[in-house]
Amino acid sequence: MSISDVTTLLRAAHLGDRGAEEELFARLYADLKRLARAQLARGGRPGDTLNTTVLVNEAYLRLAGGARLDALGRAHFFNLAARVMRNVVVDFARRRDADKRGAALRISWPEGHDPEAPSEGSELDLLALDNALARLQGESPRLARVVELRFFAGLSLDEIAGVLDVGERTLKRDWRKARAFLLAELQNDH
Amino acid sequence: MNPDLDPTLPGARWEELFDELAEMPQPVRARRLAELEREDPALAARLARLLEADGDTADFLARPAMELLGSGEGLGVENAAGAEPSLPAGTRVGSWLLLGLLGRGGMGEVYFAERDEGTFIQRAALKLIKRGMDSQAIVQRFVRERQILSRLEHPGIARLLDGGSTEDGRPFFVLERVDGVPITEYCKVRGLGLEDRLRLLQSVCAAIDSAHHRLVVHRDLKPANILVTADGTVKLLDFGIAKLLAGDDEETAHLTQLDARVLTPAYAAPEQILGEPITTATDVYALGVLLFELVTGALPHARERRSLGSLASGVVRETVERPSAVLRRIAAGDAPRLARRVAGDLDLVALTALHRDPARRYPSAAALADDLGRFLTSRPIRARADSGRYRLRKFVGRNRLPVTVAALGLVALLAGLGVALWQAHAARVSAQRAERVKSFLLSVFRQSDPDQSKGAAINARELFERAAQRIDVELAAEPATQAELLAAVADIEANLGLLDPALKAAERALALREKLLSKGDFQIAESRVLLGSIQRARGDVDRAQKTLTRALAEMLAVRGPGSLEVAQARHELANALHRPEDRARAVDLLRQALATLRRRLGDGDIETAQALADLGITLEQGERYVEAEQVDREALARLEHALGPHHPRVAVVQNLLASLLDRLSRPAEARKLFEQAIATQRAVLGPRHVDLAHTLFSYGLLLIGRQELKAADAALSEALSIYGPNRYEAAHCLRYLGLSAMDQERFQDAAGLFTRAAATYERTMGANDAERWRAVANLGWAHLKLGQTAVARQELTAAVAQIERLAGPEAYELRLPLKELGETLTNAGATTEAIATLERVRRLEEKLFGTLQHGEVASSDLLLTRARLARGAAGDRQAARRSLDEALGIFARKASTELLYGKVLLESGKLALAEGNHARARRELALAEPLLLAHAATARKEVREARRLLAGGG
Repeated sequence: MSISDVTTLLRAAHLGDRGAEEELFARLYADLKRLARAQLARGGRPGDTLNTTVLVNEAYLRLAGGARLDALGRAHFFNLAARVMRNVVVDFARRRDADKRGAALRISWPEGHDPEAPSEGSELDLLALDNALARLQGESPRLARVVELRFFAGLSLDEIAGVLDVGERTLKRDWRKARAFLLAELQNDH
Repeated sequence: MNPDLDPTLPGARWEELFDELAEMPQPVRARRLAELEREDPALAARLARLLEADGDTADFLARPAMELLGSGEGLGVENAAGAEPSLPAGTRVGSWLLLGLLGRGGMGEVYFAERDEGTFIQRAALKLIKRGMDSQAIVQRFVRERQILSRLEHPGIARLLDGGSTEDGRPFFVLERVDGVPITEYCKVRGLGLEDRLRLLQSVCAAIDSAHHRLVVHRDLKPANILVTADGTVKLLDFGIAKLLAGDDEETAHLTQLDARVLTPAYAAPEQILGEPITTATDVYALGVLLFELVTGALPHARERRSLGSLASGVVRETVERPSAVLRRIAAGDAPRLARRVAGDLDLVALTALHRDPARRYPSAAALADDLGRFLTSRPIRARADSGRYRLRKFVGRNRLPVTVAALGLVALLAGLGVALWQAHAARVSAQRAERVKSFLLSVFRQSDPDQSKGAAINARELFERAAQRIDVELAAEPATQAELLAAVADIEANLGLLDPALKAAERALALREKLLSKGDFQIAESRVLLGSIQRARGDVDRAQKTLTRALAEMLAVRGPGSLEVAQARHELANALHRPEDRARAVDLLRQALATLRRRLGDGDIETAQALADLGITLEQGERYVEAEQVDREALARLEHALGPHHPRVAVVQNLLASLLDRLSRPAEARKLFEQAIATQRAVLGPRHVDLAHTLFSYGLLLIGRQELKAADAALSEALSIYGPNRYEAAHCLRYLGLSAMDQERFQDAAGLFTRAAATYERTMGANDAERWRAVANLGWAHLKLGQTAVARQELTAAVAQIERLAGPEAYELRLPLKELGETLTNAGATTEAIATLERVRRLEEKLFGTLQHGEVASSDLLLTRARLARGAAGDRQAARRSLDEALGIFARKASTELLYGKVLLESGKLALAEGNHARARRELALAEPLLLAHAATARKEVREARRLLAGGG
């Protein structure tokens, strides 16, 4: 994908061109998924060497190349990248669950569990979270966007404030509300 | 106002309010929510829910989603085999040569390694901390795992061979390399039969047990960690999150805490999921899951892998099906045959291991292995035996409702009892049966609708009738469960005062158990205690005594003299001992029971207090009043302390103490206690409870003594209506209502009441009951007052003869009937017989009271005087004068205002007239008249006579 392509697509998407947005999404998805997979394979745990933010930023840099997107374009990019990351993560989770169900054997060696990487006993069901997030989107798209940026794209609150162009105080409140909403939803649906 | 809020979106409704509420301090927030509740309840509820979740969000979404995916495992990520090892093959680590990477995890790598031992090449697995991961915490964890492994030496556990540090300082250790497959896989691939599978599991138990002996809990037992080698040897792996039960110092304690969050949902024990303490029983649970899986091919529960929170709430509700039921459902291939083989004992073994409560599982992995062995060799398994744990207090306080909930309605009451019972039963029967008992009871309770009940007792009766039918129909094929439920139902019914159905249920429970179990089984003794206690509560004391004597002997044999069960049996037996000559024995039994209860349960325990109260009753019955009061007061204080002032048990003891105080002529203290007890019982037990009747009856007696006869009648009538027509106590009520009617000179009513009382005594206690003859004597008295002399004479003569036969010639109970007989005989003109009878009364009274200076003796003197004057034989008038003078002497010294004094004065005045002593006659009649007038209600005739004599003779 060339730089000008991305810039053009972003602009078009921003102006409401659905086709351009889908195109961008597809390209970002392929790229981010490849990056994510490589990263997972490298360290097992992304937190070690490369965090999600880096991942997304890397994707951004690769997509946008050296071109400087204007603020609007940048914001749009991150919004999109966050949505993409959400899809990437949820797809991974879905596939992992499928694999687990089908798997008969696992590497059976005296293996230390990393206390910080809950694997099988993962406390959070990403698929359920994804559904809850869809419900939040219905009630408040703005809060859902904060979650995508923060949780799926791994952006810091500062960065999100820039992307969404809101004050830090408002953002903090939104993040709080969104988390409360999602947790309540997850606790509800057993 | 948040400018970003789009008012058309549904979120707008709560978002702004949430911001506002979230920043309020708690009390303000609660107030605001309450206001909102009035305006928009749905929105308020939603906000409350959100705010509650808000309080739990500490770690929620704190880390980016990518991290939660964990390692690349299952993500299509390159496997360990293809991953780049941090150390290439051929690298030397210590004396080990790395051959390649076997696997990797978050913090470490495992290499296939070998060492030249001279005579052979040892192959092993070498575990190493990844480069860059050697933070202090991780190194600590690593070292701890090595430490734990070094403790464990068992052929069933992969052995630690070596350990050390690499050249760049990373710690490593080397483990025996296990060439095997997960146990479930092994069984499946080799097509092992049930027996072989169980024997394999026994080996796993042995390995785990050895770890437990070294105070190591594995915590993550699952097929993947239990490998079986080609030659069928079991090897346990992965003590990576194992816990040291002792010796964990503070530094490693936090690691253990972190580990506590790592679990495999399918195999995790409830306490792991709920964050409760981990013990060796945690591994026993996992072994239970494995047993279930090896037997049925399925997991015992479907735990959805969602959040830890939803797992936890699921675990609280989950129940485990019997393995045989699962197999039966499969209904294909070998399953039906296997189901029959597994049903019963092996079901019970699995369910015992899988008990929700760690304390109720097998006490060790070895015990589980032992029962598997018993199953394999067709010996009786241990899970069937009683655990020896103390049951919840259950028998004592029979008929004295042990509820702690007040006014919560029948359902709450029953549910509370049911749960308590379930716990009691769960402690000693199989989890499965306990579960059946619980769910059955709960389904019974669910049927009850408190709004439609006309009163707790009525509704409960209907409820249990239905329950009894269902036990018959639904559980016909499960006699053991049937017995369990019948015993539970009998217990609840007895506690609700539904004694007839309780008796039936208890009899059936005992019969079933005697049929099912071998002689000397604890449950037989237990059922017999239950039956005896119900028999006693029904007033069938003779039978209760026999039942409980036998039950005590059985219990002593099964449990030993210092056991709580024996203390309870003693307690029940003591309560059934009702004959005066058995009182000393009852006191002994109670003191023995108390000693045990004090030692085992402590002084403050309710059961101890209850035994104390029963000792008080027994002492009171034995007329050891001082001791009795002391004991009662102690019991009351303890119960009040333990239960608060408004508990039904407290009310029972208030009633006891009040009755005693009434008897000791301290009516003011007594009345206060009665009133408190009645208020509590009405409020907590409702208007139809037999305990309320007991208190009302005792209170009625006090009121009769205080001559508050209308109030007494009300209390006694209410008690009577609660007792119904078929209880012994109903006869008491009728008799005392009759006595009250006598005091009110409603003789005809009294005769009717006494007749009913006598019939009720006969019906409930048999024709030879002493109380029955007292009622007959009372009837004779009523007939005497009604002028029906012939009937009265007949009744009183028979009553006196029977009472004398039953209680001996000097019994206190003879005094009044004899006196009334004397009076009747006088009226009948049989004056010589009358005089002989009344002289006997006088001698009896002298003996009973220890003196002749007594009001009662004066009344006998008066009757004797009348009999003598009626006969008019030689010397009779002189003897009469002497008797009257003695009686007058008694009253004169006391400056009495009693009615009897008035009557004696009247009689003496009349005699003085006959003697021609007009001055004396006038003086005595003038004294008599105001005394009689003061008791005009019951002495109208005498007042008229005194006035006539004063007017005429004076």
